[in-house]
Amino acid sequence: MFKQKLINAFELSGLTWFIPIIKLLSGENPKEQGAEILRMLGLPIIALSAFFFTWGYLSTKIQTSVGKLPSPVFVWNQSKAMIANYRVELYKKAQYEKFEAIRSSIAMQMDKNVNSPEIQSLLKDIDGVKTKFSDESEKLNEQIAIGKEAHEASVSAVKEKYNKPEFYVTSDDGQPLKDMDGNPQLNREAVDEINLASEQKYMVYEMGIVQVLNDFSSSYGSLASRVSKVQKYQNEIDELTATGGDEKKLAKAEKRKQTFLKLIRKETAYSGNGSIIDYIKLSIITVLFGFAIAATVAIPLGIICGLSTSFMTAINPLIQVFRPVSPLAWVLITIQIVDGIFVGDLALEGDVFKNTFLHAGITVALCSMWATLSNTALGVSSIDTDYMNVAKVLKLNWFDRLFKIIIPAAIPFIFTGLRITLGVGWMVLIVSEMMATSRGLGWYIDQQYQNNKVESLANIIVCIFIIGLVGACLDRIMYTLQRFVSFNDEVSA
Amino acid sequence: MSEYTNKKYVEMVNLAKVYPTQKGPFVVLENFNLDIPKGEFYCLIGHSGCGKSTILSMVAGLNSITAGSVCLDGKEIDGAGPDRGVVFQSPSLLPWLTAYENVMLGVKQVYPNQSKQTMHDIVCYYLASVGLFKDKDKRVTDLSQGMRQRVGIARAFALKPKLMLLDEPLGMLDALTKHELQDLIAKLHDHHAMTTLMVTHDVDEALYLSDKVVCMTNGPKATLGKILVNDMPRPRNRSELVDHPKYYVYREELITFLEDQDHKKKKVS
Ligand SMILES: Nc1ncnc2c1ncn2[C@@H]1O[C@H](COP(=O)(O)OP(=O)(O)OP(=O)(O)O)[C@@H](O)[C@H]1O
Ligand SMILES: [Mg+2]
Repeated sequence: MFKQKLINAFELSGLTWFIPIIKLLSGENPKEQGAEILRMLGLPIIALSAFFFTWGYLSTKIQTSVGKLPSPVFVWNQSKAMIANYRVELYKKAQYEKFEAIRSSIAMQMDKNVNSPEIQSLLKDIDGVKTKFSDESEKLNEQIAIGKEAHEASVSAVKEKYNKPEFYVTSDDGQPLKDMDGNPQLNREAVDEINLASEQKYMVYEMGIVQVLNDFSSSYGSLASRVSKVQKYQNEIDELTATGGDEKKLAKAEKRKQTFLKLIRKETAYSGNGSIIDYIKLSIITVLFGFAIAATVAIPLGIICGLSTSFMTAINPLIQVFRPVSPLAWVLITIQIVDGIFVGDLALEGDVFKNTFLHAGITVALCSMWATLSNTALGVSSIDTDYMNVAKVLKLNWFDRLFKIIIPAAIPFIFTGLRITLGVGWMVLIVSEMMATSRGLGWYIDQQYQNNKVESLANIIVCIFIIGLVGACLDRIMYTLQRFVSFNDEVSA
Repeated sequence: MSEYTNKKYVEMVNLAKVYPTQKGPFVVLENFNLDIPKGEFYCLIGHSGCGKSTILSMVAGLNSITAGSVCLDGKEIDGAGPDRGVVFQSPSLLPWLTAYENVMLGVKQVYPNQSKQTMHDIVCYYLASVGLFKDKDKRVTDLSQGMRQRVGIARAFALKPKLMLLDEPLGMLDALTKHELQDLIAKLHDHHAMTTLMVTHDVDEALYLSDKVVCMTNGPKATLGKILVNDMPRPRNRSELVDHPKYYVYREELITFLEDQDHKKKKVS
């Protein structure tokens, strides 16, 4: 029973290649299922391998403006480096939160009594953390050294390989040219290969963590020294008041104490570099935001269009004119309008909800809503006369007619439109993020493009795969929804 | 209720239907007069395309009347309404609802002031009477053709209409299901004494169910041909009916009429 449910779920979502695996696992007709798996999985695997093989071959031949086209292996390493950066980012965030917790509890205790035993114990904690940090970074540095050695060995092996007369650049009379250090000048192919080898990432995670440990170690250090400063001035104040000392000196000490107290009380800002996961998240949120706008505008409009041919006639020219407009044109005008409205104090400064977020999201909506609009209109206007006859015989009022007959009947059409809208929206999103500098995948690709390095080109290729995968997942979700709401099983995969 | 309205419970006077086409007006139906007394079962037969469905949909109020009038219970009809239940060849159920919800949609309209429990009971009663109580919560798309047509019949009867209009309701079903549903319709009619007008192609079906069989001439400009009074005793039993002496006489009469129409058609062309 459970098995049948699983199979139904996979069928609904169109992931039909899981079905023979389940059947095989439950011991149903192993020979037939095995053949089915071979066909369903084997063929795509063959196609994929052919693709990667061709790519690998072309990467040795194709020259880009920044060097050789990155090979699949290089891109794979680059994607691992991206993940490593993400993990470092997570670690940094966790360390930041710990640091803030300690800082704020110190600040709280300080408001009561700057010399309390609690503060002493907190300072001891800080010392403990610092020694732990230095131990950890020492260990990591050892690993990094090993990694660096291996990296350098591989780079020099490549250098060795290309340090041969056939790769030297020669002058017209056949003499090898020398570079500034007096070494023979290598030709382009050799330079590219050496660059490729030396740009290969290594120990990304370890180096990132060491950086974080160093940063926070110094943060803790300055926190501790501020605390001791406050204590020092407090002691001075105590002494002066006890001996009835100089008013002026007292005021000066008090002022200094307050300066350092203020520094301790102040919340430190988190400075994240952002990681690939953040970009993906923002992109998905943005596309869903744009999609939601598109749906809320296009579905009601489409229903009105479908109900009233006059209305449809009225707005049809607008639809025809605006539908083919490129996202590049929409995004520019959107930027100017949004920035005109949310300007100065009104500018949006949320974590996600920024002006740039609106730019990208609204552009997505503007470019993608048309499919939903026309599909909804079609669904409503082409409603089966049988259903309308039911409404007439039952003398349903206008409201019931709309919500119990017309809209339910149009739901499959509406979902077909929504699926197209989400697909178009995801494509449009990347371009609008580039233009709007909203920090999603599109923005990241543009940044990498500006970097002008082979490494950045590899990052862009990773992003292309991510964009494709996310797009395919979104489409699968919509497909499943579409299947779920349709009352006849004719949904194109 | 007066004797008059009982005899002319449904009254069609000089009914006509003209479709405007590109080649000029197309007269489907002309001078069609028919009265149906209260509680009687009328069958309408005639060749394909003669305008049977047109009459039915005009009486239902789903198709405009070109000339003439239709009165039901002394009042001229104006548009469709739940006082006339309709079952078409295709069940025209709403596929996004369950069987229960399909019936409930109509019940809510007809009994707006009843309590939820009463409405629930009504829906269940009619679904049970077509033998679908167990399947009441299935989506329409999960029901077989025959089951869907049963839901359609339950929906129409649950409206407690003054007149039941059936347009080849069993046309798309296999022989076995067809017999079952004929029995069902006969049972429901006996039970509720519902005034009924049913279009059919099947002479045996007409003889099994009807009190009178109305034969139509061929179109265009079709009109009423003859009315056969089917006075075989009710309730009827299918196997006994075949042995009834009048059965073959009536059957012969109907088939002859239809064949005559065929000859005329050939002569015209
Ligand atoms: N919208 C329309 N426009 C023009 N002619 C029509 C239209 N609807 C029906 N007709 C014509 O009216 C005639 C009667 O059609 P109708 O559907 O009533 O026939 P019918 O007797 O029910 O036939 P059947 O037994 O095949 O169901 C047909 O000749 C048909 O072509
Ligand atoms: Mg018909």
